[in-house]
Amino acid sequence: MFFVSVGSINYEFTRLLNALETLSYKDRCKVIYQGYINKSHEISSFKILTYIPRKSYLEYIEQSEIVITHCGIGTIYECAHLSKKTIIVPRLLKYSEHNNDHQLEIFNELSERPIPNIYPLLDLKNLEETINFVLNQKISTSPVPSGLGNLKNEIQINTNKFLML
Amino acid sequence: MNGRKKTIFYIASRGGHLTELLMIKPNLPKNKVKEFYITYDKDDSLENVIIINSFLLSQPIKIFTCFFKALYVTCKYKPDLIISTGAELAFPFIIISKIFYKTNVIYIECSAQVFTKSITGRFCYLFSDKFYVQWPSMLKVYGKKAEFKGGFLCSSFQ
Repeated sequence: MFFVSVGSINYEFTRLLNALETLSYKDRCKVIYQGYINKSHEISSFKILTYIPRKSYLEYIEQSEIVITHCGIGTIYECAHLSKKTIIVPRLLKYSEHNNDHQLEIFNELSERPIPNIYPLLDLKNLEETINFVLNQKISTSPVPSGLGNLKNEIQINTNKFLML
Repeated sequence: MNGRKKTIFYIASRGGHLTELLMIKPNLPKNKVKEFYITYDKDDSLENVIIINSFLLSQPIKIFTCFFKALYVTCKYKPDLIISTGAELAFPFIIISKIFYKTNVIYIECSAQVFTKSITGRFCYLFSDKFYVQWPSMLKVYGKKAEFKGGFLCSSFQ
């Protein structure tokens, strides 16, 4: 199963859905679309879930062969830490797919300094090829770079200070 | 104030904002601190969730409703500290708490922002007591108050 997530923001990402429709892997896609949904998507050939709780969301990621998602930091982070091969496609401002181009920034950053198992893709024409390529890649077990520990410590210290604990 | 439990608000819109907040939130003693999550969707894995109807910055009526709900919730629980990772949902709560209760605010700019300020970040920069960014490149974009201590996908200065 390919798990496709386009996040929970109130903007459409029709471009990705259309690209999925043309795939030879089409039947293997399971799409979730938690944000704004256009009526026309309901008659598309995918089973579209509009809202699922976090727990089942993580279960879908774990069960899937590869994940295809927008460049949303939440999903990228979860997938990287679950060592799941993931194709990330930025939502672009020029197609009104988001309110700014921060997804393009993430795309650029992760293209220049890749993190394990995350495969950035800009041009959706190459989706099929990319999937073929990614399917043949081994799952990398190298650690994901993260400065989360430091940030968390810092927040803990300041919280204790502010709350006078 | 002695003897009263401290109150903390965790505020995050859905998606990455919430994921980040849950990962970096501090561990606090339950007998001393009451924790509330303010977000858009119900989540069974969290206790004390306050649900706000989602709004966009282009929807004035919804913003107005949200403001009133924020006013009610803030006055009811009188937060001592707000920790937020954005986005727009943080606006009303931070303004109201700051004005009425001089609440301390820790704001963490979402790691989705690599080179440009978010709208919420711009605003929260002015109202926060601690302001963190998650990429070193963001330090130049904001002023002196911004600090970089590490980010979700970024371990050190590169």
